[in-house]
Amino acid sequence: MSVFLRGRIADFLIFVVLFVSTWLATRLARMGKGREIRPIPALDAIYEGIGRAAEMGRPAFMTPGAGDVGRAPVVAGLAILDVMATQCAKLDVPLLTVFGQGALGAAEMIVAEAYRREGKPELYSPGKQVLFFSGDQYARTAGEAGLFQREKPALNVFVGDFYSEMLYIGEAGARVGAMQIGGTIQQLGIPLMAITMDYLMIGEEMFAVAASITRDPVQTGSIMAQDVGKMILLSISIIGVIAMLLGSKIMIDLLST
Amino acid sequence: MKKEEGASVTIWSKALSVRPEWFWLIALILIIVPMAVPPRVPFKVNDSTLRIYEYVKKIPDGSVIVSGGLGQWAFIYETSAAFMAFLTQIKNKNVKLIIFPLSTDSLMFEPWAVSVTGFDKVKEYGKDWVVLNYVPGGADIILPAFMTNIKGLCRTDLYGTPLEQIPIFKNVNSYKDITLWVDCGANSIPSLARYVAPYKVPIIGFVHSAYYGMFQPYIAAGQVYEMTNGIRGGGEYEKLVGYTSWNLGTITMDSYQLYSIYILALVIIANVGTQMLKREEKT
Amino acid sequence: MSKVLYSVILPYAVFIVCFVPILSNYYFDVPMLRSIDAELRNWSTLIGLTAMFLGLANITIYYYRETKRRKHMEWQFGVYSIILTYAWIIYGLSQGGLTSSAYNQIYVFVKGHSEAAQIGLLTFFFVTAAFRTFRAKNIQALVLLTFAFITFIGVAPWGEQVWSGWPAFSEWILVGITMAGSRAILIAASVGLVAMVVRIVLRYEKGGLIRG
Repeated sequence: MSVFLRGRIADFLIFVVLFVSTWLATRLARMGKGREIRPIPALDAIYEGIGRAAEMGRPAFMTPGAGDVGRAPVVAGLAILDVMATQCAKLDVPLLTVFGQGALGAAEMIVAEAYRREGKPELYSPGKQVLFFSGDQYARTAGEAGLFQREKPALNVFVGDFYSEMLYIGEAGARVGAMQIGGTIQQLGIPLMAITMDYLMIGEEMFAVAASITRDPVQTGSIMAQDVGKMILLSISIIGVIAMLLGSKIMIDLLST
Repeated sequence: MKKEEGASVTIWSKALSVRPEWFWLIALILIIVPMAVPPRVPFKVNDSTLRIYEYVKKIPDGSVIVSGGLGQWAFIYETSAAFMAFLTQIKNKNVKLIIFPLSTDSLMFEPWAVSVTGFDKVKEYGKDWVVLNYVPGGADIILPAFMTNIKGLCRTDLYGTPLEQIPIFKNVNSYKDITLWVDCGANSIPSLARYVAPYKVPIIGFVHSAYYGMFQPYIAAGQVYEMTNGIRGGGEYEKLVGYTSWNLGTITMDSYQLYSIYILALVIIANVGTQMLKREEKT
Repeated sequence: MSKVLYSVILPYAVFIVCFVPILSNYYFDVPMLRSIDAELRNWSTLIGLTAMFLGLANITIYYYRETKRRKHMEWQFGVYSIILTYAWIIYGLSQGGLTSSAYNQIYVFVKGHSEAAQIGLLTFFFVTAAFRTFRAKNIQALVLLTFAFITFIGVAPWGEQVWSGWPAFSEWILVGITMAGSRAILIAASVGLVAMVVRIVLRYEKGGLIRG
């Protein structure tokens, strides 16, 4: 009698393989044998956008949506916030961010630390750079749209969890002439970002940007491991398709064990 | 498009710099007029909606249907058309409906939908339908518990009556007693596919158009039986059941007819205008 | 030592004690794991309830702080929000909550409809987005424009009047091509999630209660 639940053996094996490959890749990255992450245009665009904001004398804006600090896209957003806060402190560009209640504390810490590192702690004030409007998706969106109308930011960065509200704030940002950079893994948000953003990071490009910013071996190793995982699953898919075309259901049977 | 100083203002440059508020006003008129004077535009019923209608038609007497979805109220408006058509279809069938809300807004919405369709007028509460209490914790926590032990998870219904005293629950306690699960929420299909589908309970989803393409893998994998395609699917379902007291799908199709032509016209103007302006700049 | 115990060791121990049985129960058919999993899920429900009260305390403290400082440009709305929050809670509890039709009516007509109005704005924003963005500036934009319009017209009633096969063609794009893309994104997101789980289990990821 099998100790496994029916249909879960293949699941378990794939999970173990992914687990081990992530661990190995992170170890390799920590030993300095990590792979280089290819340049991502959106990251250069962030620096360009902050420079643009400095020239125009307008603020830069960033938000990760409403997610909690435990969500991977929000963690990627916080890495980008660190970069933006550092650059804004360096170039004296006012920074405005909107966070949900889950990540508010982490955001305040990151921004305060960035200003302190640049030797301008007096420019940071709680409630000035990091704003909270509401936990509700559309209430927050309405607040952000109003903020764009009043403050007219030169750069808007949206990296995190975004859904249908992306069209609303994307258009509101476009109306004030902001350069817009977006990234999300949510399938509902990606097409809306594609039509409203100037630069787009789809899915894991966000995590790759966060990894290339922080140069953290854990994050780099994670990206490597994810590539390995995707290769494995892609190979299974291709073998399965070929097998089905040849009239064999072997892959389906194997994956259903 | 930026105009250089001294450049002549052509009809195309004017067209491309019209204030958005004028576009919005035209859109508003095109949406409202068909609501006031409904033309009842004809449209075909898609295979997916037809499959759902036929499946529900063939549900045996005495079946237990669970309606459980999560989502914000405003998003539920799009799926409400199909959900209300579904309630209208089962209104005259000998089936039992258990409303198990997965979010606070679903808890408000589903009983309201029941009253709008008149379901509660022909069915007896407690015997033919019941609304369970909302249990916080998220779909990931409460769905596995619900599937294995309904009375263990929900002690009472929404009005505080213990489930042991409610006639429906005399013979209903787990997934074995559920014939069909319908989802009228905004984004519940992934959770249902994960926690309800393994128990081989068929799932029918009334989903947004935006999610219709996205959730197709679940149908291909056999985890979800079928889904309606947003408001159009709602309109199709309303047509199949002979229209409902809500009729949102049918009304929207009338407005969408003009709105879609308007969008197409705008895109054509924008593209032609861009090309014409490029030519003018070259010359 | 006690700081390390409370901020590092204890939270991690709680995490492992909860994580291992729940994950194992998904794969293995062991009755003891099933009962541990059920018990932990019951505790999760209680934690969810507690989190609601914590959230309420959190926003009360936040709005109190902002009102006291009055530096936020819209601190008055904070006062309004907090008064409304507590008024709604008190009213709901005094009326018997969801069993009160007055309570339900106010909820539907205020919250429900104002939310619907906001989402309705997307209809108008889509008009300007279509005019501004759907321009064939390059190949990618042309492909986006083409597929967007095939599916857009496929849903419209007049689409099938122009060509009777249009709805089926649009459906094929949604069910065939879009599904392939959705699957790819789902697979990538799942793999990313496993990577994040590994990072948390092996204590590479630091966040929340787990520090150091």
